[in-house]
This record gives sequence, C-alpha cells and structure tokens, in this order.
Amino acid sequence: MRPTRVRSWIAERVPVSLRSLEQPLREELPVHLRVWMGWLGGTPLLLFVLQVLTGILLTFYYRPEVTHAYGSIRHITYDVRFGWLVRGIHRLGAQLMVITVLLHIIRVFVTRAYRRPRELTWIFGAVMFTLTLGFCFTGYSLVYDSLSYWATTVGTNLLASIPVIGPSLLWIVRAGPDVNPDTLGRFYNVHVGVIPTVFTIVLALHIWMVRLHGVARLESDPRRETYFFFPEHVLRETAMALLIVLGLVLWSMVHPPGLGAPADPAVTPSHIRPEWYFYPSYRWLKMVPMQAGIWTTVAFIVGMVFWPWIDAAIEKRAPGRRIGLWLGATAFLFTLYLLISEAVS
Amino acid sequence: MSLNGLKIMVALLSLALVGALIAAAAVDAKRQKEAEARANVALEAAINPQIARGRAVFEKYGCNSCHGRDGSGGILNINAESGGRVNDLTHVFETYSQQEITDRIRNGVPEVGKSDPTGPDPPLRMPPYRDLIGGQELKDLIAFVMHLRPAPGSKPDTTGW
Amino acid sequence: MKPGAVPSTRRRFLINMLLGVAGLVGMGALATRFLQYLVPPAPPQREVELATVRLDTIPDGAGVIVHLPAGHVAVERDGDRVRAHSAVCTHLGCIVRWNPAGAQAWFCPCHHGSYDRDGRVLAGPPPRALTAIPAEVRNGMVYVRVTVHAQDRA
Repeated sequence: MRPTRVRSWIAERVPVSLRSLEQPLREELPVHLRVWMGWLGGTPLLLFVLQVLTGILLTFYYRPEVTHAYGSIRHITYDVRFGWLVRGIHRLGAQLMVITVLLHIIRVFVTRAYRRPRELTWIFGAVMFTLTLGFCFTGYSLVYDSLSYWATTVGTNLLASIPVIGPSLLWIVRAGPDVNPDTLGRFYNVHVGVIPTVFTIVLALHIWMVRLHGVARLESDPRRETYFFFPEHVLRETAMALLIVLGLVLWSMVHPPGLGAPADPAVTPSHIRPEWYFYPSYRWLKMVPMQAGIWTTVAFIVGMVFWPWIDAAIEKRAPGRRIGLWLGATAFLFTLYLLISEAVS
Repeated sequence: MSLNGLKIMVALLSLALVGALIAAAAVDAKRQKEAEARANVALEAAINPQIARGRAVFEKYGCNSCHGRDGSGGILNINAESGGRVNDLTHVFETYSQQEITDRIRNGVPEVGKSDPTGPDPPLRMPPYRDLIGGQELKDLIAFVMHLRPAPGSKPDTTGW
Repeated sequence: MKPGAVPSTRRRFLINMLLGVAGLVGMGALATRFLQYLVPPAPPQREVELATVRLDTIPDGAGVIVHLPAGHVAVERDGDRVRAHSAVCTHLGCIVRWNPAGAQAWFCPCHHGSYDRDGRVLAGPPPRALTAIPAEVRNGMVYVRVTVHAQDRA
C-alpha cells in the first residue's frame, strides 16, 4: 500500500491529528534545566517502569504463602535463569528510586518550581513520595527472612501507638489480632496491586499537570532562551536512563542479592533495623517519647504536602530573603544527621 | 553538550549495556551449573530407594523433631555451640565419616558444647539409638543423612544493596 | 414540547435527587460489603491449659522461651516452681531473651528494654510490664494457662 493510503487508513480509525501528538515533543524547556540535576525528572519514572517490569517477572516465581515465600525467593535467586539479575535490579532499583525521588524533590524545592499555579503538581508529587515509601515497606516484608519479618512486625506495631484509630488500623493491616497467614497476603496485594494502581494514576496526573503548565521558570535566571524537549532533553534523559540500567546490571553482577536466615517468629534477631530510608524517623522516634514523635512526624508530613502555600505566605511577609530555602536546608540537614547517627550506631 | 555529543553518548551507553548483559550470561552460566548440580543430587535421591527408606527412618524415630525437616535446621537449644540450636545435618556429608555417623547415632551425643562457657548448660542432648535403630534401617538412615546438602544462600545477607 | 420531557423544573430536580441519592446509597452499600470483607471479625477464643517443657530441662534459676502455637511464653524456674510471662515485649512486639544481669531477667534486643523476674520494666522504652501467665508444675511438667484462638488456616 502507498504511504498516503496507510496514513488515511490509520487516520480514519484513530481520529487524532499528528500535529497534536507532535506538540508535546515540540515543548520548549527553559535552559536552566540543562544541568545534570535537570535530568532527574524522568529518572524516577524510568525506575518505576523498571520496577514494574522486574516486579511482574518476580511474581511469576514468587509465592505469597508463609510456608513458601522464603523458598520461592531462594529459588529465584539461585535456580531461575537470570533470577539473580531480575531480583538484583528490583532490589537496587527500589533504593535508587527513593534516592532519585529525593533528588528530584530537592531540585523542585530549590528552584521553587512548586509556586503558584503549580501547587497541585507538588501535591501529586508528595503523594507519590509517600507511596514510594509504602512500596519499599511492603516489598521488603515479602522476603520473609529474619530481618524482613521482624522489621515488618515492629514497623506495623508502631501503628498501634496512633491515638484512637491505632489498634483498629493495626487490626486491618494485619488482618486479625496477630501476624497470621493473611498478613503476608495483604502486604503482597498492597505491594503488587493497590499501590501500583494508585501510583500510576497519580503519576499520570502529575505528568499531565507538568505538560499543561510547562516547566516553571527559575526566578533567579534572567535567561529567556529555551530548548526543545525532543530531541535534546529526551536524549539527556535517555543517557541518564541507560547509565542507571547499566549500573543496576553491573552491580547485580558484582554483588548479587543474597538471603538471610528464614523468618522465625519465635526468635527476634539481636540487631534488627528498618531499611536505611526509614533511619531518620526510626532515630527520631527513639529520641523523643512516642506520642511526641508521632505528632511531629504528622506535622512534618502536613507541612511538606502544603509547602507551596506555606512558602508563598513566607515570601509575602519577607520577600527575597529565601527563608523557605533556609527552612528546607535545615530540615534536610537535620534529616541527614538523623540518618547518619542511626547508621553509625 | 552538543546534540551530536549527546547522541554519541547515548549510542555508547547502549553498547555498554549490551556488553554488560553479555557478561551477565557468564555469571548466570556459573550459577546455573551450581543449580544443576543441586538438581542432580535431588534427582538421584528421588530415584534412589535407599534414600527414600532412609527418610522414612529419619521421620519414624523423630529425628526431624530436633534436627528439622530433612535435617535443615534444628530447634532451640539454649547456649549450644551450634548457634544456640540443635545442629542441622546439611554439612554431615563433608564433616564426618560413615563410622563417625554410625557411632553418633548409636551412642548419642551426651555432651553438647557451650557457646558461652559461663552460660547455662544446653538443655537438649542427643539420646543413644543403639537399641532402637539397627541393621538395614541404620544403613538406610546413614545413606539418607549423607546425601543431605545445604541449601544455597544460607549465609546472612546484611545489606539491602 | 418533546414527548418524555419533564415539564416542571421542580420535578426534574426531585428526580435527579432521587437518582443521585439512590446511586450513592447503592455504591455505599457495595463499598460497605467490600470493607467488611477486608476487616476480619475477632476469632473465637478460649482459655486452655497447655503443657510446655519438663521442669528438669530448665536449669534452676534460669529462664527459657517456650514457643507455643498460642504464643511465646517466658518461663523462669525458681526451685520447684516457675514464673511465666508473655515473651512479647510490650514496646513493639519483639521476643525477649533470657539475659540475667543484676535485677534484670529478660532483655529485648530491639530497643534494649529490660524486665525483672516478675516482668516489671527496669529500663528502656517498654510502657508496661510483661503480661503474667498463670503457670504451675505438676508431675515434673510445666503447664501454662493461655488464650488460644481458632486458626482455620494452616
């Protein structure tokens, strides 16, 4: 068939103009995004896609049953062809996703890209950050080795400390009065079904918002030049993506994932700890009484979600003094301090 | 960086990725060999009637109630040298001779070493089975125990990376 | 006017309201059933007496953790008698260990909570004493009274 016949065949069945599809590619980005930190928007997206792919592959062999979970992961790691690679990418990819999301948040925070009218984009982002941590917590609980079982037990027991709704929340999360076979099933489904679905919807909304508003200008940058999303920015992000996948593959080869001792509900190991991304709250909750710890954490989360408006109010009172930036830097350094002091203890 | 520079970088990274994935095949081949060796041992055991009989003896006399199913890991034995638990039997094939195993089963293990010398005596000892297990049953049991192999990945993985 | 058109705006409003309310109630009913699906009821439970270990397997003055399907029990021997407590730390649910040191009898490895022989908190973050469990020794065997609930799944 001749090209125009093909084109009209498609155009009749998919009534969308090629021009409107091309438009997002022709979008112009402000040149301040050319620095390496500007390549970070797409990285969490890439890692999410990679996690979904490797995650789906893992579900082909993983068995969410108390008696089989550990054994199935051992099977994947040691027997399945390239199972070590799939699991290695999934595990390291999870850690990298937390890091790149944090870097992306820092970039957006420092450039004040959340300011009006882009507050909703920020809120969707805050929701996704919380969901990412939810991914990590539920995913780690599925390994069912000693550390994983007890980190999950202790982590969920924290819920009971929430006033009023705590014990009921714990009951729902655990599916009953104590950890039972349904608990693992619950965490598995949240990790594999609930969070991915919600995350994808919020991600679509977030990206749609970014496309609708365009990338925010950097206030301190007088330059008005732009460059095209396609091909220049796409190439940058592709380069970053390839670098990351390369890193994940190489690391999995050099340091393949292993497995601790199988979970034993009768014995708590001598040194249990959550994963590193929970060190700051873990440390904080050890430093202050439980109730104070919970309320300050809630306040921090609320502050983070509504930051665009808080920052706007601050800027109105004290314009140009970047107090918001100082607050953010202080919060970041304090969190880093908590993380490091927990890591070395 | 110029547009052409970016394109070259992307092309080079793609090639590097291909190279890494080819190298990954070498890593996988080694692991597959080990997996095949394990599968062969399991297959031999499955078709060897003596091993099946030996497993039946192992279960009949309650060995698994202390040493774990298929000797894979023992129950708590406070302050025992073997990691505070009754020892698993997956390393017997490379640690003891046939005669040593026979002696231990027949005479039991009346003294269990203490992990902390100042701590309590481990409460569990292995009783002697000389009056209970003998003849063909004993031979089958020893064949079974000698065929046990450790499962891979029994080493603790302390990092998440 | 076209056939089927609603002549008055008040009637149209009422019918829309009816549709809206019925729709919401319908979806609400479905959502309620789904929520009930997710929240399991409290299983039936009974208090029973269970045999644990022989007294002579516990060195005098020492403690052991007994793992029963009904839970974890910290048993400490004192001559011919025993003291039993739940071995679940009251802080965040880790299993304590026997670790005698001065007044300390039980120690939790998670956040270093410390309990004495009667289960009372000596140091650390635990908010309450270990739950006492009635125990007695009969014919050389240690028995405890615990609450068991139905486990209809293996």
